[in-house]
Amino acid sequence: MPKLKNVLSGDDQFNFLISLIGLINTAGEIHIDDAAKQLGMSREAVREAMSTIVVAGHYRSDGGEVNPYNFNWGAFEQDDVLCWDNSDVFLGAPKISVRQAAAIAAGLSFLRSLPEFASEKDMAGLVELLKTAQPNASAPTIRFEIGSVSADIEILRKAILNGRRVTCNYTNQRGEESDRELDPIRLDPHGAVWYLRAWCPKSQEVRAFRLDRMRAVAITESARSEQAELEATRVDELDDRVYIPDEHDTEVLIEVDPEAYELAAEFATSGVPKIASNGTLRVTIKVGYLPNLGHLIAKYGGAARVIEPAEARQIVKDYCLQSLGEEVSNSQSEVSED
Amino acid sequence: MGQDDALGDEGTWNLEGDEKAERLLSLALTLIGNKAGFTKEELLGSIRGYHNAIAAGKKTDAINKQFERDKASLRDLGIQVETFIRDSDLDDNTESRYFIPSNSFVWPKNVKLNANQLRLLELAAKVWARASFSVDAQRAVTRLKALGMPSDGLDLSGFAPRIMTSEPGFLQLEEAARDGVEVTFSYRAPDSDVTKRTVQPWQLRNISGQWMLVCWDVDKQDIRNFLLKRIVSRIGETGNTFEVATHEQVAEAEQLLDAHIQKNVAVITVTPGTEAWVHFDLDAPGALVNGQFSFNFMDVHLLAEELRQYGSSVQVVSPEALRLAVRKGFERVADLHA
Repeated sequence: MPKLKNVLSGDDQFNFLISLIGLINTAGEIHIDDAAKQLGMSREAVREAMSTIVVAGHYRSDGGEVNPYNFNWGAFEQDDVLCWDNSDVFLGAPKISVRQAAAIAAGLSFLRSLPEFASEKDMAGLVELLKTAQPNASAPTIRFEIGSVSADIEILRKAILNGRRVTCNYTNQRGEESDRELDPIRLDPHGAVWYLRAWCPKSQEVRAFRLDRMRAVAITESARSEQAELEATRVDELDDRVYIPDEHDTEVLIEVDPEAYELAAEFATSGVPKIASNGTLRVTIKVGYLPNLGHLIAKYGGAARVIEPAEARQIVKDYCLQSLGEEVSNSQSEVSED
Repeated sequence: MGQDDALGDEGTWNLEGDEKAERLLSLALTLIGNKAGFTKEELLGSIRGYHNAIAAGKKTDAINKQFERDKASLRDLGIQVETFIRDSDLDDNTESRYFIPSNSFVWPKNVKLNANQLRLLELAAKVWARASFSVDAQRAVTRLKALGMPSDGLDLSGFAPRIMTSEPGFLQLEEAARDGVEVTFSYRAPDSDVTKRTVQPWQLRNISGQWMLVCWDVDKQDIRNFLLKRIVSRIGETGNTFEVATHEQVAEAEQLLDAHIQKNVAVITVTPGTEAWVHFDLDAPGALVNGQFSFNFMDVHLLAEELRQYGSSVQVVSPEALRLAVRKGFERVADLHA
């Protein structure tokens, strides 16, 4: 389980403090290691938190202190057990804020739209619980619908959860078709297209694969490779961009309007750059196979433009002309595959 | 730098945040369930953080501001600080008293979560990529963990699909929907001029990867859907507020959109063996009728974007508006790259 934050903001610390109080309240008593594990914090952080909790409260007018939570230090020193000596305020587990509920509810509705979660019987109870954290009768502020989900997603999800290798036929960005073995790690929807992050045993690295370029996906009896398992433990750290830049890439300067920001978000070489006052932004993207720029840029119908290099501009223009059924003479985009 | 960037492996505490967390906790513990309430003077004099600051000679003005910020933080974290004026004070003293109703703060006693539900919640929180929503979702999970038992042996690491939000206005619109705040923005509908819109946001809805704002259009006096990526200005507030949307209102908007989608039918032909062929899954039995593929769609220009990615391998049979939109987009991009 991943540990939580390194340097927590005051708000996050407070969130942790009330969660810890709630945990001890519901559990009655709990071993410090269990509390740390449950809340995803280090043992030291829990100890620090306890020393904050016991001094929290206010001064009475006579100068005495009111500290609602008195920690049983004896139990702690003897058995590493957290429990209250006495507590003046009954405090159960803390509710969540409206926005927290919205964030979780939207995440759940996202999961629910995936076939395998749709039938989770525990899901309904959670949705009801989250509703009680929202103001009465108001609609959720966020909703997520995946749309149609291909059967392949289901197979890949099973492979990920069971740590199995899959086989498939894949057409790469150069249009070359090959049979592949892949160790799936993560599935990401990007717009209408799903990507699979998988360890590729052949190239010995994690790569992104478009699901709509995969055919005949089948789960195998073999377990994922050790490297894939290692990568899977770091699944949250994977770059959210679908295209992981490579040193052999060509740098292309593009200009995008808001309608095409997603292009910058997915392909930019670093972070999302500042937006000019007219709403357009210029960003350098890295492209592994230049002819791909044609469909990437043409998609946006003018909201994304290549500034340089000239070769890339030519490729985009030729792609459009070819799509319009026009003859393209002496074009650089008709390079034979290497 | 996003808040996530501060995350590391071990939970540790920084001093400044620690002071704020202690102050917030003291405020919360002092006010929860204390029906008599406290005046601001009483709180500033008795909560250690303020008390010590006053003793150290901090200016009253600065302490007042800090108090206001702390209240705002508590509200953001979902803790309702309420004010009232004591009946007996009505005549001579109209000073507000603060308190926190305990039922707004803690879950009812019978609320429990099982290990599987905790696992689902963690997954739901993880689907937020990058957006600050991931912070809210993580905080919610920390709190909700106080409601259940540790999820030993349940492996969460395998599956983490991500929700992307590259639209700059996303969070502000969600807040506006949550708080009932009327907003304005400039919207660029395809093939038309930028217009200024004034709306009451109801819900952010993601359909097949596209974020849409479901709202009441104040100028049109009707329900409208706006694609977030076509919003080309910052989000402004009009100063007006409204009752947040009910489930019924959102359901009505959904029905209207569904009816609209049912009316829109696209008919295309696809070159066999191409990427588009795989994308539309045309090997499936019954997919083609007389060599043509028909399907419903939401928006002509969004579909045109999708189809342009497949170049000349997709030809639009009908509707004419779609055929033209695809074509015009190619022409525009070709011109822009001449």
